[in-house]
This record gives sequence, C-alpha cells and structure tokens, in this order.
Amino acid sequence: MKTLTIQDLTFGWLEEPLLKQITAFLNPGDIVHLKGENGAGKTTLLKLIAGQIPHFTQGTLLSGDIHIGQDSILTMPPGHFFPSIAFIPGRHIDFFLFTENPEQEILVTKAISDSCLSEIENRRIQFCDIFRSMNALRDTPYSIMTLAQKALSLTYVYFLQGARLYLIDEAIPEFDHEWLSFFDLLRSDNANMIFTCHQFKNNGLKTWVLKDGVLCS
Amino acid sequence: MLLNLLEYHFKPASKYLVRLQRHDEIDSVLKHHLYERIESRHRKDLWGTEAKRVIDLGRQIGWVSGNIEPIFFANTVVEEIAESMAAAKNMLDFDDAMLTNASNLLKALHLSHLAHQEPFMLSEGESKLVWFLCQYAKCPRFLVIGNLNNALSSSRTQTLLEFISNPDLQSHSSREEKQCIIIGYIKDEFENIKKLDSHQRWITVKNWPIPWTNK
Repeated sequence: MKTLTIQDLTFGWLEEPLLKQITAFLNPGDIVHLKGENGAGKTTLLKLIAGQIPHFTQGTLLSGDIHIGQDSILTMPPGHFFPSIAFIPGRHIDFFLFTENPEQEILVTKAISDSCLSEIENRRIQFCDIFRSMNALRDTPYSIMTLAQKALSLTYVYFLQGARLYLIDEAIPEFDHEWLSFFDLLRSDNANMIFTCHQFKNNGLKTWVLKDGVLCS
Repeated sequence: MLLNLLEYHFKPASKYLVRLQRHDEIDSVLKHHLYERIESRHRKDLWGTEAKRVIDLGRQIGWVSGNIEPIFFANTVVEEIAESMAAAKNMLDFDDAMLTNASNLLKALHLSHLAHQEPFMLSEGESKLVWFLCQYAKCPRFLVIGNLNNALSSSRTQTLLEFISNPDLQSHSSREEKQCIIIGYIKDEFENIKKLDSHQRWITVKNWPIPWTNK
C-alpha cells in the first residue's frame, strides 16, 4: 500500500496555477529529494502534503487530492493525522516549538502520545545515537539555538512522537553522514521523508523535480 | 563595537569571501550585536538612545541573513526596494527615480517578474534575493551576506554573484566606492565564486574573525 498518494493536484495562490495536475506517490521507506528553482513551488507542495494548506492558509485554486494512507489530508482535520506527519519548515520554525527546550517537549510528548514511556525512551536513544549533538541540545533553550539546531530539535520531537512522514523544507543546511544514517533508520522502519535542500548532491536518492508547475519523478 | 570590529578586520573598497565552519557563523554574531544586545540589556530603552544606535548601525551594515526572516512592509516588491533607498536617505517616502532604480535592480537580478508581487507571497529564496536588493539599495558601508548557500538554487547563487561582481552595475547604482562586501559561504560554491575573479579581486578569509561574545 502506498504511504502517500498525490492525485491530479492543482494549486495556485493567485489565478495562475503554481502546481499543475501533479500526480506522485511514495512507497513505504521512500526518501525523496524534492528539487526545483527558487519559487518553483517546493515549499507549497510540502505545505499541501502536511495539510498546512488548506487548513491554515488558502490559495485561490485547489483541485485533486492527497492521501496519507487511505485518508485525504485536504478534507480530514489535521488532528486526524497526529502524530504521523512531521513538518519541519524552513522559516517560522518557532511557531512549531511549544515549550522552552527539547526536554520539556518530551514531557508534552509523553502527555499527549499513545506511546509508552519505554517506547519513547527507545526512540530517544536511537535518535541521539545518530545525532550526538542532540544530547547537548536537550536542555538548551530554543531562544539561544540556531535555526539548524531548532530544526534538528523539532525533528527529534516528531521522532519521539512516532512520526511516519517527514517533510523537511530547507531546514538541513549541511548534509553529512548523520542525516544519511537517519535516512537508513527511516527506511528500516518503512517511514518516509521528502526534503528540499539546494546544496544536497546525492544521486542515490529518489528525486522529484518541480519545473513550470509540473512534477517529474 | 560591531562597526569597530568590522573596520578592524575588513578594509574599505574590498570584497571578502569568508569560509564558514558553521553555516550560521556570521549570522549569529551579527544577530547578537544588532538585536540581542538591545533585547537583553536595554529592554526598557527600546525607543531610546540604544535603539537609535542600533538603527544607525543598520544603516551602515547591510545584512542578508540565512537565519533571520526578512520583514517586508510595502505592498509590492519594487516599492519595498524603493523604500529602502528612501530610508537610507532619511526620506519618509520614495520618489519616482528610486522606483526606477529599484526596477533596474530587479531587472539586473532577473527578478522583474516579481516587481509587482506582494512581498509576503515570495518563496524563501526569492525573499532572500529581494532582501539582498533592499540592503544593497541602502548603499551601506558593509554589505554582509551571512551564508550565500542558504535557500538559493545554484543558478540563483550564480546570478547573485555575477551581480555583485559586475562593476558596471555598481557604478550604475551610484555605489559608494568605499563599500566593503563580505560573503560567507560553505564548501562547494567556492569554485563558482573564484571564477568571478576576472572582474574584481576577492580576498579569501579562512575563518570568520569576529567572535560571538556575551561581554
């Protein structure tokens, strides 16, 4: 069964469509590098998949559908998909951080998640084994973190919550072996990721290219 | 303090390429000096002398950050750039000549199609380029791009570098001769930047020299 199915999706902020009849899908474990020029619509597509559009902001054109598993993210309420979807934006990231530091975020996760404590602890160990810098960041206030550290922290929180589809928008400035290890971890768990990053040059990954509103995979 | 440090490490009428160890090395230092000082030490003096000092610093240092989101005020992109020009000259509003100059700058950076778009509709990379033009239009003494690589596609990065390196464009926009341009970069764009050396002499700096400090 497909994890994500995009069917004939057309979207525009104004009269002109930015995305034109896009059709694509993800199989379990797929990691996708979403490419395109500045302004091609990469962020918009990620926001649509995350349900940010149309639930929090709207354009003038929207047709087609996006299914996460069996359910349409465009019509079902966003809460229905918690904690499956992890959206890590390139900007306004503070909007997604609810407490003062990642450690406090774990307390919230424990309170709202169905996962048992040992499961959350296992995930914490898995994540910190890959991203060792997260150990030092756990007690660090967001107010003194850099953008990349906040992005990593938010990814950490989503991971603890048990997210299955990671949508990361320009929030990973320097790809290195840690992120490649994280890809492997997601693959082994049949989880997915779609990310944008202009600097990333790895030919081994599945690629989606947005050009003139059309998606080529 | 920040101005003194920049003056000490970077000479006027020069262009510097600073190899970054961390992507936000320059941005975090400038952010601290320009914003956090006023937030932490002078919170009660938000509209007082310290604030005026920071505003004055903002006029002398044009900063394009990969870490701070640009805040736009105008209804259209071209007006946003023209307003930057007006603000730099202590004018309340822009005139027709500034609007024409702003259009020319957009054209030079291949962004004419964005001229009449609302700034908040821009994508991340487009915002960065428009913010760059706003800073450039102010003709600051120091024009700092904190992290060239952040959010820009390769072709846009190349266009931006060519724009900065083109001496004709600079004279066209009445650029001050003593302006210092500092560009932080991470890894692979370096070769692209070096190719532009035929136009202007770039000075390569291996480490960003100004530390972040609480003192």
